[in-house]
Amino acid sequence: MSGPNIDEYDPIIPGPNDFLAVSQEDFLANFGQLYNAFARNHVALDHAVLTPGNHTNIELLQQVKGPETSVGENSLYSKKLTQINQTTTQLFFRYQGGQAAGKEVQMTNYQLYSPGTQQLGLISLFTYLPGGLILYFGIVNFSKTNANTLYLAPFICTTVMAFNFTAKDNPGNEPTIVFHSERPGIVTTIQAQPAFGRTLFPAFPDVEYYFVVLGNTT
Amino acid sequence: MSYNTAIPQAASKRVISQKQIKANFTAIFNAFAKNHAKLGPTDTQGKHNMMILRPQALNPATSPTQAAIYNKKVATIPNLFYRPSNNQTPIQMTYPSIGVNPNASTQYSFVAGPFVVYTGVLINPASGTVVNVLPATTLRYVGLGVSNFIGGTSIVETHAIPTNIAGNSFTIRYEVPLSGSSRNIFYLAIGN
Repeated sequence: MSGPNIDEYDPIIPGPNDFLAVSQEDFLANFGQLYNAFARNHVALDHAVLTPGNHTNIELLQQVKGPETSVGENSLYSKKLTQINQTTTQLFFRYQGGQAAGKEVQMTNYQLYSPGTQQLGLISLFTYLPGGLILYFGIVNFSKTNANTLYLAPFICTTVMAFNFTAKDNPGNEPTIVFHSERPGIVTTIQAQPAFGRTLFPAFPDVEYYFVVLGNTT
Repeated sequence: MSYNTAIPQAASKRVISQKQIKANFTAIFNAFAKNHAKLGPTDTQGKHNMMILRPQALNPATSPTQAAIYNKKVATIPNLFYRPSNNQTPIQMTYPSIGVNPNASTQYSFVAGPFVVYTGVLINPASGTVVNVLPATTLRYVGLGVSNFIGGTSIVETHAIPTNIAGNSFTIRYEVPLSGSSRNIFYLAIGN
């Protein structure tokens, strides 16, 4: 159901000297405008089945900064984020105010997209953790990749905080790791080196490694 | 002036009702502007600027076609919860704190559950080094990675493993070399 075609809501009607005929139109306009506004993101005021006041969805308009929260409150909002020369709108969570923990937490990160064509010997996936951490994971076969290299795509990782490689069928061949930055401030690749004392040739036989890499993007 | 649900009265004079009705329209306008784009601009009114969530004492009921996002306290700290449809078990989406300073050698974040995900790097720790992660949870997973290994003259396994995983601590173990070597060890741990 749609409301009448009306002008904008007027918060200061009726005037003290308005005739009832004028006020009646003003009332109708305000009730109609209120109805139309409330129907966006919310169950309509006159819905016959659902509960008016419940939300249907939440469209979050981009904020310049996070809202203040009081003790006991937290908040969700969207804010512009410029990161690695990309400007996007991301979801933020803010702890309760009035305490040291009342800071904002970035809940989503960059824009999700496919890392692109999978290089030979690599299945690479990624997801995000609150606070701007990125988790890369998948399977890599170093004997099939160029220069024993694992690419951390998308290239938004500024600091590698953790990694782990587990050989699928050949335990004991877990590599040692060297990080490389091919772009300023960004860790773009991990290069695997064979464990000291290993004489296997090639350096990494046809072994698949389950890998996980956790990095910070802020 | 707060919203008055009992106006206008049938016996009220017009001059009284006019002020009351105007006050109610103003109160509606001001209340709606909280959390929402203000009433007026037809392209944005009704959309949200934010959602400031007041703590709920109870989990909200959800029907088979509903889901809910809400604020509920864990101990004294309000956290974000999600309740799936049909009154399924609520899921805590946030942890009471987070530490993701990119310059810190140890960091932690969280995932729904909540589980706390810890990361950190130790510069050439001795085998047997005990790591205590904070804030304390019960660790369910610990994985280690070795980087920047510099070997001595002996054959040394560069593989490090976590041992004695209990509570919020674990011990780093690796084969101690006969001669000098060094390594950095990264850890990824998950607890709840």
